[in-house]
Amino acid sequence: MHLYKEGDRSEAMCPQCKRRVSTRFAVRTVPLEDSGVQVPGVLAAVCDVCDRVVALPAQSAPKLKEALERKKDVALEARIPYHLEDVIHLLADRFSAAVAAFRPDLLRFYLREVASDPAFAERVRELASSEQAQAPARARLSLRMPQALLAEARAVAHEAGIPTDAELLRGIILAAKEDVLEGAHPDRIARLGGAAQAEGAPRPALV
Amino acid sequence: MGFKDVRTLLVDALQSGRFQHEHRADVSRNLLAVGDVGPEFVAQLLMRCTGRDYSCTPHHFDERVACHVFKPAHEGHRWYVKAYFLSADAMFISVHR
Repeated sequence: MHLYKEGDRSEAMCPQCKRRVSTRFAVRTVPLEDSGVQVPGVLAAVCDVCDRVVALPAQSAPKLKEALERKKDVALEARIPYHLEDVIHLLADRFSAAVAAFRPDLLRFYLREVASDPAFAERVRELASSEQAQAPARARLSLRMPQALLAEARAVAHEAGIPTDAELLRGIILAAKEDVLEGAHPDRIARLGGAAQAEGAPRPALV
Repeated sequence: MGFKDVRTLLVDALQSGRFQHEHRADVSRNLLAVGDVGPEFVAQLLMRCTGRDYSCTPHHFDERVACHVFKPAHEGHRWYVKAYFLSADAMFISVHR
């Protein structure tokens, strides 16, 4: 696959100059005007005459796609008991990962598990209503995620009898505690270890 | 260049990555530029075309540059693909339904 590089030269039709112009590839912030998104760090073909971005190379498409999808992300906010927030810290520590980076990965990972597996959602419901989940919910939890993931997870959770995001999160965190801290699910430990490694944690030891 | 020659060159460009997109404000008119569809998909769209799905018009900034328009049908939708060639690259203006 051909890759355009910063400094490469090409040609384009410039809408400002209204003619064929020579271009150079440079890194720019590209506005996607009808979406209101500004995408920084995009390699773009810039008009040699007026310095305007006139074209984008094929390889920039995934970067633009990601920026547009990020815009569609939605927030999930809930309050959980402090001892469940401690569980998140214990899980991050288990993988030697920084909590701030690992927390969203962990929760999105388990929301995907809920969305994909009604039997797992049942288990989450049982854990959410267990004695371990009960305490005043005063710790605030907030993360952003793709709208589709949250909608799918909520749909399966509601089907399983989990009525609120707060209960869903309580059940998920307790499921993670059993899976990882109590070693109940080596496959999930391995996959979460990969996610933690992607956030800069050391390579996970083989289980 | 006739329909089949243009199509072959565009498919080659899509397969090799030697293509660019005109930067436009309405990004939803070029789904290839924002990754909503991939180059393989657009190549397949082009391969579905017959000569009747193809037309050619001069670029409004430079009449010496031919713009190639393909209107393939796919799963009940009529697609619109518009591109031209400059130097060694294909330049896509539009890829949308």
